[in-house]
Amino acid sequence: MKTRSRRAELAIHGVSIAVAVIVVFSFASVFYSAYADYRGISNSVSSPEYHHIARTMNGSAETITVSLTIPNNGLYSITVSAACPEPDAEGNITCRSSPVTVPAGQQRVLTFVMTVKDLALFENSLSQQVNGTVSIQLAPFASMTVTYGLGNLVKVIK
Amino acid sequence: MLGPKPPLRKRIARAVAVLVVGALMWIIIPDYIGLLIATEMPASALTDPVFVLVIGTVLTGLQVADAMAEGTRPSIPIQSAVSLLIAYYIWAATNGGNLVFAVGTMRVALDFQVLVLLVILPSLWTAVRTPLSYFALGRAPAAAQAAPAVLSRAPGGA
Repeated sequence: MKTRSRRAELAIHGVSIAVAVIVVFSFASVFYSAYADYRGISNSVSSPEYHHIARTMNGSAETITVSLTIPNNGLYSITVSAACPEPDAEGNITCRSSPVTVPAGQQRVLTFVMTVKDLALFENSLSQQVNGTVSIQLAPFASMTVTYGLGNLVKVIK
Repeated sequence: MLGPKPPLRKRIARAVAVLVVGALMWIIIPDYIGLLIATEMPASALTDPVFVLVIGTVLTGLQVADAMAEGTRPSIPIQSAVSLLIAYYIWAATNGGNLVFAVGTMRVALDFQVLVLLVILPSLWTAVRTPLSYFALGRAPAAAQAAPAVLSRAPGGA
């Protein structure tokens, strides 16, 4: 009986310790990864050698291609995607991009292509209100989706 | 598992301290945070003053009751209820790990369900561990030899 009670006590203590270790390790690793990824992506955005923006004019149409090197300095793989999920009413803007999964310790290039069929219409219409989204997923713990106006992006590039 | 029952004066002093800390932790500070984030994060339950007041009052009341009932059988279900309510409070405050807020012209959506589960995991385990310890260890005669107070209050233990 004494042994059984002792075993039960040990089992309960064991589970308590396991829960504490899992929680502490998970939070420490997730926050470290998030911080390392944030620093890496911030450096890529601010350093000219890690991002490239190309503008191509074809008549009244314009294509903006943004290539960004995404480094993953964290402990978990990250998935980054860019899109414009709600096209504008006139169909003046189209976006093209594939999600990029970056394993830990590696880097990949995310390419986002935005085509404006009629630039004059874009500059004088509601097309500027079209939203684009950038999603960053730190699998399997968290994800962040940032929604911004594509009109602002064009203005910044100009 | 039940410990020794402290004297009444000690339990009252502890209950008063728990009342002050609980009111601050579960009502006053969350209510203030709710006011700050009311426009940015309406999805959080903290922006609902009724939720904060009702759940915070119940939680603080249960913690005070737990302090008063320390060392007695009623403290077991009270401790479990407090742990479950804390888990629910955190879950509701974070909207289950889905929060949306605005930063300037950008809209940011955060999805961190797994992290919220990790935060509430210790509380959920405590809710299970408390009655488990009581029934697994409190009933055992051998455990009672080590802690006589347990034997005297354990169901069928004496």
